[in-house]
Amino acid sequence: MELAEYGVFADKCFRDTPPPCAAVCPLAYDVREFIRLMRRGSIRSAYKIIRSSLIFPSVIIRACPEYCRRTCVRGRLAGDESIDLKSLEQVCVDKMAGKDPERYNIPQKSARIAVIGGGLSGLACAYRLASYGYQVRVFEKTALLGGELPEGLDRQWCHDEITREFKAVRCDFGLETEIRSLAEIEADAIYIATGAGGADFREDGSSCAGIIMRGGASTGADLMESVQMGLTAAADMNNLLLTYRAERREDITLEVPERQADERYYSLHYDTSVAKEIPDKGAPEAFRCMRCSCSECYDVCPLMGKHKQYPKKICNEMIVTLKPNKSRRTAVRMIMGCTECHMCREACPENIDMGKCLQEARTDFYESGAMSPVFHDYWLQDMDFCESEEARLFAITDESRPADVLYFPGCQLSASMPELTVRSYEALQKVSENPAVLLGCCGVPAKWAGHRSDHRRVRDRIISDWERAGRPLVVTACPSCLENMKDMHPDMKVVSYYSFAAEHPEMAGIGGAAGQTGGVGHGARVKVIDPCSSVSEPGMAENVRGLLETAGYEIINNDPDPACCGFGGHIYNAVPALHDTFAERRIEDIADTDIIAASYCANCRDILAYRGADARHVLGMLLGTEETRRQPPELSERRDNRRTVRGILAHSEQEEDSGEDTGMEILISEELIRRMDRELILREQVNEIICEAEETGCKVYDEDDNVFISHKRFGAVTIWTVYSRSGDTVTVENVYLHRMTVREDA
Amino acid sequence: MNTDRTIIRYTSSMCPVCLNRLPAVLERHEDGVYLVKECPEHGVYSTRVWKDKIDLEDWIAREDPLDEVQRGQCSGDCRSCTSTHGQDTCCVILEVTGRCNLRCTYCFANGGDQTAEPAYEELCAAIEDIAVQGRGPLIQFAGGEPTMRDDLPELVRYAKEAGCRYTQINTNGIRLAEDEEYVSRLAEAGLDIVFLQFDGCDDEIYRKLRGTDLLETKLRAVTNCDRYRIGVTLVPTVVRGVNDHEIGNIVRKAAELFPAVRSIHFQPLTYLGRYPGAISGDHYTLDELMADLCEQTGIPEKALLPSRCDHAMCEFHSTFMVSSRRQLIPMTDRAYDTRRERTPADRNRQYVAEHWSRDSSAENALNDAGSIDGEFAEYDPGIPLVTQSSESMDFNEFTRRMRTHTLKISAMAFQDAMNIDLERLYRCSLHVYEDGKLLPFCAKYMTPARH
Amino acid sequence: MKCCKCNVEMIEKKTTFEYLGHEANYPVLRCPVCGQAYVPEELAKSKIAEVETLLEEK
Repeated sequence: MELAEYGVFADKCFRDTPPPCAAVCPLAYDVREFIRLMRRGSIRSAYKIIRSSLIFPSVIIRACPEYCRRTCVRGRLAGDESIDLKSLEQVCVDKMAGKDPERYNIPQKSARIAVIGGGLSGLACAYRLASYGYQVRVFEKTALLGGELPEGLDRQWCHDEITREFKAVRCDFGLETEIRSLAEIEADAIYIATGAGGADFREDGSSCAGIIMRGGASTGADLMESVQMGLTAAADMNNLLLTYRAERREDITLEVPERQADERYYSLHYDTSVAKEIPDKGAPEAFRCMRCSCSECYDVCPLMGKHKQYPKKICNEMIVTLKPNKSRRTAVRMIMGCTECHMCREACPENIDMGKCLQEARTDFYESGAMSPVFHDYWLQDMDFCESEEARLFAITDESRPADVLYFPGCQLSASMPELTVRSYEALQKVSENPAVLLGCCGVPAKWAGHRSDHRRVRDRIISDWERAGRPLVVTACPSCLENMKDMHPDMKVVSYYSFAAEHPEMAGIGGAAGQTGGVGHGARVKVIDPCSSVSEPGMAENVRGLLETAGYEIINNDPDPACCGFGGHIYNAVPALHDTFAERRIEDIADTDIIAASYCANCRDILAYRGADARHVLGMLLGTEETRRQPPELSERRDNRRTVRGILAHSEQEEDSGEDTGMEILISEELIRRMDRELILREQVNEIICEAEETGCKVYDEDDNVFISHKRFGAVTIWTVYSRSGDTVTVENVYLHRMTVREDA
Repeated sequence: MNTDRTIIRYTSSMCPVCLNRLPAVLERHEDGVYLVKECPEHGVYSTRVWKDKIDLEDWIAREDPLDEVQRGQCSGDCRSCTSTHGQDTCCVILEVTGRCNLRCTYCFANGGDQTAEPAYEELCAAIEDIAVQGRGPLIQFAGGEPTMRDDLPELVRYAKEAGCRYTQINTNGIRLAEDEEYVSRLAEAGLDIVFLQFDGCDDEIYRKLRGTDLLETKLRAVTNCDRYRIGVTLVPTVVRGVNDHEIGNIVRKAAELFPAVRSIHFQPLTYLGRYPGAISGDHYTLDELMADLCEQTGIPEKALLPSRCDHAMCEFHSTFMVSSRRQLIPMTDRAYDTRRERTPADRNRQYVAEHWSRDSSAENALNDAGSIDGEFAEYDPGIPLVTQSSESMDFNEFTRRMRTHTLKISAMAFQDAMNIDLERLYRCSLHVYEDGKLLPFCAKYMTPARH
Repeated sequence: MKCCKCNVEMIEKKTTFEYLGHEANYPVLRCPVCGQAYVPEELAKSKIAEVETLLEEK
């Protein structure tokens, strides 16, 4: 994806837009932060937040017409009331009552500002500019500051409050001074806020001031809008003055901006509960406020939730991370941690697919050369193994005719449950005319590693075999493979084994076609674990349930409930802690119960079983072969299983890899395998060392223990193997490694 | 977003005037990286924090940015903070007095102005608290000038007994030079490390920065510490235009005085506490220091490693093996930096303490003479300071020499109100004890800008 | 200890090890003819590991 595309990928996300209350308020502040502080009882900090927006909080609060209440989301809920923000603001003001604002030593700027009109608009402008250090003078024709105020506000009181606030800054006042012509004033900038119907000095030909701004009631603004205009005028003036040229002449009339609530806020999910226990210092009303904002995506995703990263933020970080000027690392965790489970897309009101964004980023990241090979190395090697002669198989029952069905079990099914792979193909064979089978990898490890060209290579191979088979219907037992294969070729139809079985009730052994009502399930209680990829085929989840019910199981969750188990994206190496989080979450409610977790993705099953759930594969449950809590096989065993499946389906004797050409049988004890697994030493590496040692004689013999020792460098480590030999049988006694290299030139 | 200014990361900072917390941004401009922030009341402030003498992205490559929650937790107002800090305690500074026998132009602690001094019992209570809160930290006695207290050796002993694993004093060295008996009492009490303020080898520098000639005094302090085998670290405050040209000479002096001097810890000037005039708009940045160090000594830039305990922009360190001819052989290389995770504070503490202190038993086991003194030839200014080759030595020798023959050069860049970056503060493991709380150094001494 | 390739007894000899750009040596059994080395597990887990850690700046 081009960098510019990341910038707009999450355009529709409205997470950081103002909630409806703030959207319609002219003096909006960060209401979510305000509420958070009010809940904690941090009144001072909360006061700081509103102060810079409300300028003269004590006066403004009294004068405010409460726009927010009309649009408050809580107020729209049945039988509920809108939040009374004014009362919370008042709490802050009361707490700070009587305290003079802090006075800072601010460096003086040389520009002089004149404000004509001592109403709230002019005063807001004056205060802000004075706090920047400008020399400000306010001209007010009456004796009191405050201008036009709503009924009920005492003018003297307002004047006194405002005067008190102004103690924090240096500002001059010319009360009872009416300006009739701009020539009376010497200033670099003038803000004219003389109110509705007040003098506007437009016919004034004098050019003593360079910048003139007009705002307030004369533009049609109401009182609060006028105040906001004063602040805007101050900010704009400051910007203009920074690049001030004496000869510049500006005459700007401010406009009242449009304010509208974002309707999307009203359809989000909110936690409407109110805390039962309100801490001593906390304000009760603050707990009714829901701090409305859209967090649908990171409420469902631990990756986004952990970093509280919402789409726009993520996209910004993608740009920084992928930019060619090497500022690389900010978002690596995000990029490497996405499992592509689509839960975010499903939850988002705008259907933003962050999984897609992150997958693109991963590919771009890899292509930029910045990705450490460590993260996906293991999986890519595994994929290469599946594509190798030892494990890959394409076979048609009758080669002279086109096949009608091509079975693609998926590489993890063979690795984990070889017997089931074979049995499931047998069931399929019984209902197809000329079945074919393809043992291999669907290429998703390459996709998840960001290796575009490798991904294409594997896919092209599948397509070519499919063409050879006469373009049959592809049936796959792995929902993940299905998701990655369904768009492979416009003419290729791919269905899941489960949907296929649902349409072929005659598949003996599947779907309880044996006829008993009890079936193999015997009424056992089952929670169906829908893998994330189940959403890629409509009806898959329902079909699985149908099959299980017919087989006599009692399903406790009838509604499809797809979620992430942590396998996707192959994040295991990159962010192992996150992988654990996903897995733990998936297993939460079934961990120590008798409930069977029925999974139809081999990876989910393995991950859940490893964590102690009674996780079984649906195919196994239908065939009545699955044992309870079977642990996933270890690394070395997985490859052997694939070889076994290949051997059976190719009708050839294929032994466990035990010594390649030399015809040796290499034995390694369980315990040693476990130790090797922990240090990530593969059996193949040990076999390689031994075979080479025996072939070349590059080994050492220890007479005392009657063992041979040999070693080899693999990448960044040197691995040593200690073994004994008896005839053609080799027993591995010990394996260890170190990172230093040994110089062996004589 | 200004398209020709890349945002490197979002962070938070403080207003230099009112010290309120503000959102801030690290932006790359043409001439370096700026920290930009806007106070709604006091305006926009922009400070250059990196001059691109070293590639910043490469330097902070392994630094994990804070997530929103962590960022939200750090208010910069450490005294009232109740959240979890982002790093455990490595070292704790305890101010034992406000008095000082100097009145330096720059003093982050504003020393010498106070006459108040806590009572011995009060300090003991503080030490016990520190030992528990800091989990057996490296405790640094400071002030003012800690050697103004006659009972300092007792405090050192008390600290060791209370469970502080290492003890250190931060001193100008005047008393250590003039009062050998005092030094022996400190050694007996178990003092491990002396951080000796040392700005250069030219008295003109001391006159400017400290108000008086001090070179001879400093060298005598080193001699006395050597006599009692207390490890000395030279701590130069680097001020542009005063002693930034002297960096090479300081390193040469350290090589000359090794192993009496075990390490150098540079501190670029920061505007905290007392300083003359207004805050300069142009700080002497960490990367500037690294560039000057490499240029003036011949140390290769890749030998400098960023901190993995504190934030990468706060510190660099590097280790050198000192050859028998007193040449420095770089042992660290950024290209081979295999540290994947953050270094936990207690492992960092052990690592730095081992480099800053002297291991008497290891030194004595070196050779038949039972002393390290004969290991090095006279310092020869004619040969290059830095060399690459090292005689291949065996494992045992290597392991031992990594303990007795290594000089460490490091630096810590403190933060002031102009350049404070709360993401760095969050990771700080150097804490100061105040009223029962441990405050990150830069928060404790944070001073609003004056004009 | 015998080198099986050359069929000779191995002799202890100072051998150079390299890591992260630095060298250090240690006597280990070597074949005097082809130079093949034997590093016992105890050495790998103790001294070698120690030097590796020191060089990795942990």
